[in-house]
Amino acid sequence: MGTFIFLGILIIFYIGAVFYLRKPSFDKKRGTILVSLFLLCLSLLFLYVTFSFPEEEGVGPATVPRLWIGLLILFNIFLIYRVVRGIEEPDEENGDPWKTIKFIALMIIYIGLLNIIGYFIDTFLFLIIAPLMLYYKRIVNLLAISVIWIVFVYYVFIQTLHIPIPLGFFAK
Amino acid sequence: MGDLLSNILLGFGVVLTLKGIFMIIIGVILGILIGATPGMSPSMGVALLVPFSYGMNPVAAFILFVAVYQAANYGGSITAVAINTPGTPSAVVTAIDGYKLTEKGKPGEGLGAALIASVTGGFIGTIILMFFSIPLAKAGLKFGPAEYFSLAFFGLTTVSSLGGSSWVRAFISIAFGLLVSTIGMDPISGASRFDFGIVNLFDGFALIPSMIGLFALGEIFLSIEKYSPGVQKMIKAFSSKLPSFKEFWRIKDIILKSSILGTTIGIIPGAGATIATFISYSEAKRTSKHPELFGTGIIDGVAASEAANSSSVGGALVPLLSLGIPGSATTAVLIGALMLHGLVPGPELFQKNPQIPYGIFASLIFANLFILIFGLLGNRLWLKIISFPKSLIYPLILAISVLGSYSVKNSLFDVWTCLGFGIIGWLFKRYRFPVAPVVLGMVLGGMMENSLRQALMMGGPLIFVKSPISLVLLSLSLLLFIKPFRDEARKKKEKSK
Repeated sequence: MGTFIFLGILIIFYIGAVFYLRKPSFDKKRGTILVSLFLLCLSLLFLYVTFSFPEEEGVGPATVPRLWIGLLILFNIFLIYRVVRGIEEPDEENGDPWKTIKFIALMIIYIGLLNIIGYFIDTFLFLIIAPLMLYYKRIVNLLAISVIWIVFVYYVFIQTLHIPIPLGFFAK
Repeated sequence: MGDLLSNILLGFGVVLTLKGIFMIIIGVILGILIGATPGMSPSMGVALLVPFSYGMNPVAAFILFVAVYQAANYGGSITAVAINTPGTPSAVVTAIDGYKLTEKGKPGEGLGAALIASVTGGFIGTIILMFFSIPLAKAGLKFGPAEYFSLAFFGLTTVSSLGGSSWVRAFISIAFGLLVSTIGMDPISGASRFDFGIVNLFDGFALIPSMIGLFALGEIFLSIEKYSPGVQKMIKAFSSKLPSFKEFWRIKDIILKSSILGTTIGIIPGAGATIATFISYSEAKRTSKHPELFGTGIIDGVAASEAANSSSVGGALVPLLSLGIPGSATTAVLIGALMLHGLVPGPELFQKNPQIPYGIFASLIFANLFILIFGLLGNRLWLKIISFPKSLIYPLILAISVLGSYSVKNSLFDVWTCLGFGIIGWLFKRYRFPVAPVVLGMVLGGMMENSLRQALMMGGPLIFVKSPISLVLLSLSLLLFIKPFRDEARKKKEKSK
């Protein structure tokens, strides 16, 4: 229970930080600070959890994790200090993150359906939808590639290399 | 000596079968394609292949992996020279002079110099690998936990202090990887750690799916946000006239020196191909009679970079085979592959499974031979294949990643792990946190924890100072740790002047 309360506190702190960092003075610094703060929160959560480990005299199960957590906390604080003071180079210009976020959402649906409709149908659909999201337009090519891929996977991975594949309701 | 000879013959015997040669040819073709495709690195290519080797004989699998590794390091140079888009991070330096040659209408010279330098470098790297790893493995057998811990610690400090301007981030990446490695059951007391009650986490995150996520998905997610259709560079028709023999003879010293330098840098745990190419290029420039011509399109620059690039493969395999410590991102993946096949990375590999290390030596030699053949035959073909639209390549790689992570343990949880680490990899890359150190931390974490705790139980903290090897390694680590601070202080001083 205590872990969840602590997690809640960290999440509230993180959301607060996200809002605070919306100030224009954090432009080109925001991304790095947020990644760093995320790792910092993760370290604190892990540190909290180590106190529930069985205590042993000398070197126990908590010792080494605490060592790495300590390093992670120190370096993250150091990095945030350097970013805020402008010692670190500013964040690079990247593309549009929403493109990737939409793509990750597609991946989540793809993986979520894997055990339901099986790798073959799922991948057939994924290999048509994903290129369309990347502005590919030739539907006939897409159908051909999807079919070729599935036949290839069947013969090479299942028949020759005996790789296990989620079959979904086909298995039943 | 007789023992060595019979073992080398054993290696060649393993490779010189129909299956062995087939594996090497497949490996070289896949490797060149992986290397030549911008956005696909050798580590990513090998990580994607590892799960599918599960049902294979481990010797055949490793013959394949090292052929891919060696060929991918060469493949990056093709696109670097032809279209100024380095296929691998280590081919960035190759593009400096290589693409200038293409602009002058002499791409054949750039590609030819890259090929010959790569193959020579690859051979030299392999020879040095054979002569170094065997005695080092013998010495490694005498290493105790204190020495192992110090060696791994030294490797990790090298990675981060050589991380250039993002060295603080590299330290964070390592500490993050080390922390992730502690998730799951404590190896000594058996207590459960950080599993938050999730049964699938009792043994921690599976290594191979995490690596596929960090290397493959992370890279693709980053490419997708920058992706726009129709920006693909098309390859113009070009002459493929190779440099003359006289030209090659002129640069023989550069190739030789860069190969030795590349292998040596490759041996240092953590310092991989990219650092090797930068150092060799600047060294070739410094000692050249015409340093001013570097960067204007001369084959010397291409050769220096490519010889170092390819020879670093042999170098990076030295600590892997002899001590079980990865020398590069790809060798970290190979450690994961060894574990997947139930083999213990480290000096005992030479005694218990000699077919693996000696098979690797023989595979590398033949892989270089086939790189030469395919390089001479197929530059145009490779360039045509990689001009396949990215909007199709990315989804295909994702479909392979999903299949690969699932098949390791027949587990959907591993596929989610792969996606999770893919998102971490994307955000890390987006904000210049290097990803390879995370993997190194995850691979070395378990070993470091065990050896640290064993060493402390055996002799307390002083054991690290009493052992001379450990003392030297830890002192070197300290110096490396201070280095970036000193460099920055010096830069600041120069600026204020």
